[in-house]
Amino acid sequence: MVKAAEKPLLTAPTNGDVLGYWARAGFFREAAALFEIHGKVPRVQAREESDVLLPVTPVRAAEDVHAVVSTIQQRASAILASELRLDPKATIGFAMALSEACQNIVEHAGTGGWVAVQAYHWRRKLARRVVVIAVADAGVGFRHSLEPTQSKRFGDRWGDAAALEAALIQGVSRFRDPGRGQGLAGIRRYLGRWDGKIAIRSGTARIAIVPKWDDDVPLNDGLPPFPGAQVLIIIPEQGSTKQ
Amino acid sequence: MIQHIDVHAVLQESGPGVYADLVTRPTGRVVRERIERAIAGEDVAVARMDFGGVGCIDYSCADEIVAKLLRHRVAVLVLSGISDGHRETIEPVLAGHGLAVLVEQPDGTLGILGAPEAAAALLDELVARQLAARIPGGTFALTLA
Repeated sequence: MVKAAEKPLLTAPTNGDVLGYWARAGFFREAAALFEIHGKVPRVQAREESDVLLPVTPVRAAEDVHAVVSTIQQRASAILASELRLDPKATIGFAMALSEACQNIVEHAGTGGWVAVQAYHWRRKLARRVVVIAVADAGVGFRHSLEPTQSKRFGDRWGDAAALEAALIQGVSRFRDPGRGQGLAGIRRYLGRWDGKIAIRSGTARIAIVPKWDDDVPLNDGLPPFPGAQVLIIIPEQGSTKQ
Repeated sequence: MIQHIDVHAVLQESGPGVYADLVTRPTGRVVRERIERAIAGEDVAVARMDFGGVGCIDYSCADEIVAKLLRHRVAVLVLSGISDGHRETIEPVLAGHGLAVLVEQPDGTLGILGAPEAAAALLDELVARQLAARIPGGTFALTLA
């Protein structure tokens, strides 16, 4: 437990929309344990019709992943099917993708992390609704996790970008068990089928599998250092779209 | 003999919480070890694993349970009660390992999930061991009750 005097300062945003969004997403509830929050934080009642499918939720162990998957299936299956017009098969795959993304924290981060799931209406960018899974941890990051088994193979190229490429594109894992590395590969397969996107930020690099509807950069290096990892998964509403 | 394994019941006994989903590698490991113990105690030729009641299965559990049971060759595995969602997860995991598993359809006929070469070899082996036989219509069924 961090003592109050040792907590870094976090100033809450003054923009009402941002403040309300952060509050609805449960950000301040989790941040209060880590930061001394300055500024006025609104009290938000949970609403059944909220676009927050899963508020910011801590993930520390396998039991947390079970709870997250169970919650999202009860809470989000109807929304995924009715509002995003996802095939029932896609909603099952959604829970799988969520599980695998959360397990990266449990298996690799060396510390806890958080997950949140939110539906948005991207009117300007996409003219359709999307569901976004965001997973983050402040653990060791992909490069450190893969270094013992992969750095020699990459030689001078080894770094955060190479580690992300190895994990997401080549499906390698730090474990020698031949069955490992299936999680991210499975997420990629799922997203390929439903026209989704994944981006991972770790260390000084960020990698993305970019669908046709997006103009993100596939690989970005030399970014400000970020401890741990952020995984972003986006599944768009199915059907006709402007691209 | 055929050992019937209720995967949902094994899952319920395997953790502190009551969950219907086969997710996370630690959960998969515990479930597989329980199944291995159940099979090891008997003269089991075929283990029929019923996935009825199981919600989502993720790739980690598909690998940890189905792929490892096949690699350990503890018995001939037959999956039953599997949904399209289960199938979509299990198939690529097995194909990635060059493995195949039998799937018992509701009408009792056998289908196969996984790598085609492994699937053909598996059926040949079962017929040779008289554990399965071709039935009218060109499909296969288990010979044991």
